[in-house]
Amino acid sequence: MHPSKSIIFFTVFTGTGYGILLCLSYLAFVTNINFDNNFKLFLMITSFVFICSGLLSSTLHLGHPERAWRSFSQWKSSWLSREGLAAVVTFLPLMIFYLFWYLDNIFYIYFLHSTSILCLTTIYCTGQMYATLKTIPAWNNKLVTPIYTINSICMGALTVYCFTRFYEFEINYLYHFTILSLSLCLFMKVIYWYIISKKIISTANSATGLGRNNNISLFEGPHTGKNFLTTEMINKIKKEKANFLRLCFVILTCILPIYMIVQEASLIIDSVILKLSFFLVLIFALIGMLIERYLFFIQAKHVVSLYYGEKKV
Amino acid sequence: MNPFKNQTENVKTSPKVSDEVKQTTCYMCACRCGIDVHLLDNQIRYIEGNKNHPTNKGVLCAKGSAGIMQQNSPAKLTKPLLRTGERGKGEFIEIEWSEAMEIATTWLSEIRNTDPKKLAFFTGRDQSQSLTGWWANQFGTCNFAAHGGFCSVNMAAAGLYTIGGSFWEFGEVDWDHTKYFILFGCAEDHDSNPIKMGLGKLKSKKDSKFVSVNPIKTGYSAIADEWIGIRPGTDGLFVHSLIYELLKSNKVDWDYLKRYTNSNWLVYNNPGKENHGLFARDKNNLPLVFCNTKRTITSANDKNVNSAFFGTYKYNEIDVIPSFELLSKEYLDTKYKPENISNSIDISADVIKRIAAEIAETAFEKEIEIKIDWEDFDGKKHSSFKGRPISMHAMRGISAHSNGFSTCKLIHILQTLLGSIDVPGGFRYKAPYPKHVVPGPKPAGKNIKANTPIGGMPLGFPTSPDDLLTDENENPIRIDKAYSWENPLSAHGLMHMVINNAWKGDPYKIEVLFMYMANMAWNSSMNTEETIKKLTDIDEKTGEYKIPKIIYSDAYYSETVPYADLILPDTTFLERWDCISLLDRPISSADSAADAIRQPILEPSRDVRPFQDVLIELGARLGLPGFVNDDLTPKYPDGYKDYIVNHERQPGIGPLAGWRGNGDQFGKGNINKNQIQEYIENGCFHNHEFKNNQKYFKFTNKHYLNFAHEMGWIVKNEPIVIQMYSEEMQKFKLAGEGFGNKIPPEHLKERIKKYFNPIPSWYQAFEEKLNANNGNSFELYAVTQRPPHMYHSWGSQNAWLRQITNLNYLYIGEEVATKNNLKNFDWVWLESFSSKIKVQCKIMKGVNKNTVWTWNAIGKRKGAWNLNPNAPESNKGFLLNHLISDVLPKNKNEKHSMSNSDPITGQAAWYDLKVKLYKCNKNEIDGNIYPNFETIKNKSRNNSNLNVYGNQFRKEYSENSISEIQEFIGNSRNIK
Amino acid sequence: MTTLPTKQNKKLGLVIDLDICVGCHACAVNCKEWNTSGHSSPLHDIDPYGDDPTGVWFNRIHTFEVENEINGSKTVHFPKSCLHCSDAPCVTVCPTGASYKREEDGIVLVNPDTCIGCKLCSWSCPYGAREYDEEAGIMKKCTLCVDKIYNENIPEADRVPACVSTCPAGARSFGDLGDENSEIFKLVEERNGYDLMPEQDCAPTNKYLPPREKNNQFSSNKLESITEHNEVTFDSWKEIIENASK
Repeated sequence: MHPSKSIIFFTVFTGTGYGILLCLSYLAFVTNINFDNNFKLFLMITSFVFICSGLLSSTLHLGHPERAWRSFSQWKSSWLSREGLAAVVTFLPLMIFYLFWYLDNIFYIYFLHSTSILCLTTIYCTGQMYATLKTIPAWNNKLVTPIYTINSICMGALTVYCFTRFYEFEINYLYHFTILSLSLCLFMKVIYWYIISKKIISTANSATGLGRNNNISLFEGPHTGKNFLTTEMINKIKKEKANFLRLCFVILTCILPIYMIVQEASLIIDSVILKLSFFLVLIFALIGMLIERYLFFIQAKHVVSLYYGEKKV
Repeated sequence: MNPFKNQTENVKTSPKVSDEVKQTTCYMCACRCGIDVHLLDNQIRYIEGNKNHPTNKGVLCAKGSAGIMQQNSPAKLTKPLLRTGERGKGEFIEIEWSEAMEIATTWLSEIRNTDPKKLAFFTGRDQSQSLTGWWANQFGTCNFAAHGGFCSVNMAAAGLYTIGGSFWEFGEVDWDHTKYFILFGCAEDHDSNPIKMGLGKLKSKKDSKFVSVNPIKTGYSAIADEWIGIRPGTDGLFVHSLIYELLKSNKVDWDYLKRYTNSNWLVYNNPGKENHGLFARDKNNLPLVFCNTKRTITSANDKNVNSAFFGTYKYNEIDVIPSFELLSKEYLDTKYKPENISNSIDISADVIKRIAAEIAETAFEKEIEIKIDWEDFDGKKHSSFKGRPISMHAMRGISAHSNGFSTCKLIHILQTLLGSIDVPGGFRYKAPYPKHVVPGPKPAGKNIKANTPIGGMPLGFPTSPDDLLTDENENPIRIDKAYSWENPLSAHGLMHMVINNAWKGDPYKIEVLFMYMANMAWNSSMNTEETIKKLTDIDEKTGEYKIPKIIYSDAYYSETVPYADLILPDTTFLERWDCISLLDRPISSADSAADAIRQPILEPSRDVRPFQDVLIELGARLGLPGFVNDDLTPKYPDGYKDYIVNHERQPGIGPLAGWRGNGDQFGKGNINKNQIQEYIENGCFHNHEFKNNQKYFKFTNKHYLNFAHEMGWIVKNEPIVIQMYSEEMQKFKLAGEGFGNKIPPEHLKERIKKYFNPIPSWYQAFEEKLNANNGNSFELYAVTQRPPHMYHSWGSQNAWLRQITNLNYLYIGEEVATKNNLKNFDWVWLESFSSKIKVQCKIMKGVNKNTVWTWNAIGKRKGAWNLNPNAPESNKGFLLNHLISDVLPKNKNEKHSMSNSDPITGQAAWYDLKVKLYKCNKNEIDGNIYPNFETIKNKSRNNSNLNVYGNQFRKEYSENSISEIQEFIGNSRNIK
Repeated sequence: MTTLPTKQNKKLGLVIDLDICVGCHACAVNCKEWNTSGHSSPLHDIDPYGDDPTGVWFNRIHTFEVENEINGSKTVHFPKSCLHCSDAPCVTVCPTGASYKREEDGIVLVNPDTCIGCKLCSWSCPYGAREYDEEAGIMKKCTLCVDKIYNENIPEADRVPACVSTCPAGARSFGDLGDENSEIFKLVEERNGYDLMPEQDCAPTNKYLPPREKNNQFSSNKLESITEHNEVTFDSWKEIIENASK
């Protein structure tokens, strides 16, 4: 599939923004999150900017972004419609949460949890939009929605964790939560990669119906050049390059942050270097996540490629 | 506005399609289908097939369907051009038509006043040869032909010298009745829609079989029930082997041979004498047969004689033998046994034998009968047409070889042995064929005089050496050496030799080369690079170009345009009058005689004129007889339209056959001023359906022959006898042996003796043979196939068609790939004896193991056709033409180099090409083909990067937009 | 409605005969020609005379080589356009309702006024039937010539999709595949018409007819020589023929 930049940016940044809120929601359950106002503001702005920039970016891939409002109408059947609706509805409790949290109104906690539920709903809708596409075996997979969720949570947790390093203060349970979510992300991803390497839904034989056991090869496609289908659905990446990029993701998003978090005490002496290091860790992790999303698209084969020379998908 | 509301579309299902539907004839290829052009606001909304048209019955191919984009082509020429810079540089100034006509008139009148043959007038994809040939005649030059010499002449000549009709578009399969169809060497081509319709019909019948004989399994071959992946140029051997099998098992239609062919005619067996191999004739010059019952020699005219097929008899003290004995003896030679030829054609002996058995079973055990009373020419009444439902068709794969004439003749002989010509289920003639073998007239042009017509049409059919156009020293009279000893039966001329010969001054120099619609500086020439050099070569003595003046007319900026001195821009096919005439290449079917016109659908938006109008005006300006009245005023002041109606070739016979006289006469009749209007009202065609009793056995069918004679299609009202044994060929052979008035020059004697045979037989293609003689090994055959959606070089300027194919690969078989360690898209060198090219290859399965191939005419020169110079056509697309030499490799001891053509007809032997293939070194791969010519400069190139055709008709649908929310953001289609 | 209609009065669709399609691209080009001025007009072409031209097409022809050990290889031309599925995933994924299936005839259409150009429908279609028009910013697709098949401004005989009326080989048929008495339904039955990618559960309306396997209709696979000897000599052959004719 074509790795659309706007969609990759959307999933990573909106996901991270939602992740921050999910992380806070978790922390609110287990501890007190009545932080210093500046720190709150910092988290609020970051999560808000991440969410909004991602959502705005997602409309960039639309042919008619000005018509995006129309996408609310089909919530009965369309996951994309539901996603849009959920994303918009999320803003309602979110804004109240921001306000109450900043004002130390204790009711913020209800709005935080309801925001989190809506964030999870939005993420779920996004995941389901992909997971229900039978045409793309790599996505038509029970792990896709959980991966969307864990990606979001671990990136949110890591963001909050890195911010605590800048502010040089500790939040209980965050350390374990971050490491656990990052590890889970890595674990699920590895299983996902294994599953998609095995999965086949359709073959050139079923696509053409020209004999179950015949060897079917494309002699000539409909155009000697490109067309919409080949640019949108048929994108190839060399196996070596894909493996290298997977490794980059694993290191940048999972191994490096965990290593930094665990080994922080033994590695960092100077506080400036500490802040800088965690800033870089966050940036690298985001880059790693962008790479992961890129691979999610580019490695996903669409069954239409069976009409363009692929033997099985 | 409720964003949760489901907004439904109110689809407008009955939009307006047209203000007016105009009918005309398609020109996107040579098929000439009838089209309905829907016009809305004076623009083309839709082009579809005309349901009533005899050719296409409503269907339309990809090319025809892309007519709008041809009209929209950015490569359309816009104004007459006069060259200012060097030839080939593309530097022109735009001039007015008056100036252009004056220049052309001055150039041409100088020649006409001195030596008219200094004009070489050659037309390419011309559909008005009846006019252009006649113009050349009136001008007084013999140097005229269309492009048939590098296209179809082997088929036309072989057919007309054997059965009086031919393949190509001049005959068709009886699709309704045939049960077994063999298609030789045919990819998409002439008659393409009728063939597609026919194949659809044939394949849908339960008891039918379609066999395709073709080295490549694409297009029609893909749907064949059996594919015979033959080695190129060996079809003749395959046919020999089928004939061998049929003869040896006595699967021959003896009655048919006896009644309708010259099989029983007696031939002198008098070796070393001037009548050897000629027919014995009585004092009335009629051929003779031996009557088995009376045991005497008698006239062949009496069909009720029990005439002998075998034996040796005496006539005037000389041995005479029925021609069939000679033929069967030749064809039963064991060298034609399937086992003996199998290895040479890449088909197993079992397959050959099986096909022969299937053919025989179809012909002789599945005979069909159509109950209709008819009468043959001898007065014998029949109650039905009996047919052998085995049919054949052959095209370019047979034609484009140096043995094509003989191969095609062999196919006709096979058809005749089976009794399947013009019978139900067989191959059928289309009107005005059949003609008597050999049809008149002879080629004119023996005496060229200033200001004098040549006294006949430049192209014709020689029947003996006396008809050749050679001078007293037996040197060619024509610039293309047509009708000379090099290729005596070159009935379509040799356009492919004109530039070479004119450049060399062999046999003489010319002054003006006048060409129409022929891309000679690119895909229509062999050895393109050399041809371009010859067009630009300067004579050191005079400082002039060796070909001093070139006038060119075309509608589009082709590769040839920059090489002309004066460009006369033509219109598109939708902007002109045209005439598809029974005098030329009509649109008839086997059931009807039909002709057609084109009418202008659109006004040209540019300063261009239809070529035929220009030619007629030039004729008048030059004062050519036939183009001016007695008072020297133009005879056809209203141009081609005027000519189409008012010209008479013979009294009562003009370009159009329909609605003559008072509108009630067909074929012959007075000029009808209203004729064109009648055509327009009838959909731009006229279709004269034959009576049911005229439809088969036309060569002997009394009612058909009477009618054909009345129409002037045949000169004598006599049956047409299929010439299994060709006396004309023997006359040339005898000349080679030194008999007769005209004797070939010494160096051509052997060639004439060898290749002119009364009984055709296969011989190895020249290039392969000469390569072998010279000890060179070019182990692979290289041929092209026609992509069904492209016609020659025209398709690449078409925004839609070029999206389908804008580059081509060299297709190779798996064996070749393995041997050379090749993968898809690897770059390879392909080398012939004369040149080499670098191209990308792709591997496929359905190809003969010794053959590589590519699509025809996809490669374009950079900048031509107003394409971007980086277009794939020019950087990945390639031609095989660069590898094909116009002259053959010389034998070590030979002085004369021969043209790469059939020795009998001069047909260009495109498919004789032999190559070797090897992988490119890494450092040779730069992502571009070789050779890659410099970009053609073209100041008019200014292409839009977006095609929005159809947007102008959007309004027909706009009212269905939802007005309620029209104003709301996001509903205007224009917002982006 | 972006959900699928609960009932379909008709199932209009195409039947494509792979046995006689010669791969001439007539259907694809004629389709483009009709539709560039039709319901979804214009079907833009980008860079039409340039280095990498591309455009909107509703119908495309692929060519496959099909091989097995017994029969060797066969070349099959394979035209493909929207199959107007009964369970069209492209309809249910659409967030705006622009993509819909008509209840009256089962034609799947895109409303050009409400499509937001999210391309999700093209992702959900296994057959590649959807065509995003980059320039217009909306999804387009085969309309089964909805503006031709019901068009009262053209003669009744012409009211079939452009691809069908233009096909020279007669490889395309059009009709109501939901009507068991229709010609087209019977054709599918008779020729074992099949669905593409049944495992995708889209229940396509369009059917494909497989290349026919012709049975051997002939009684022998070689001809017997009339001469007794295996090797024919002309003289012995001639004698037998001459005797036979007497």
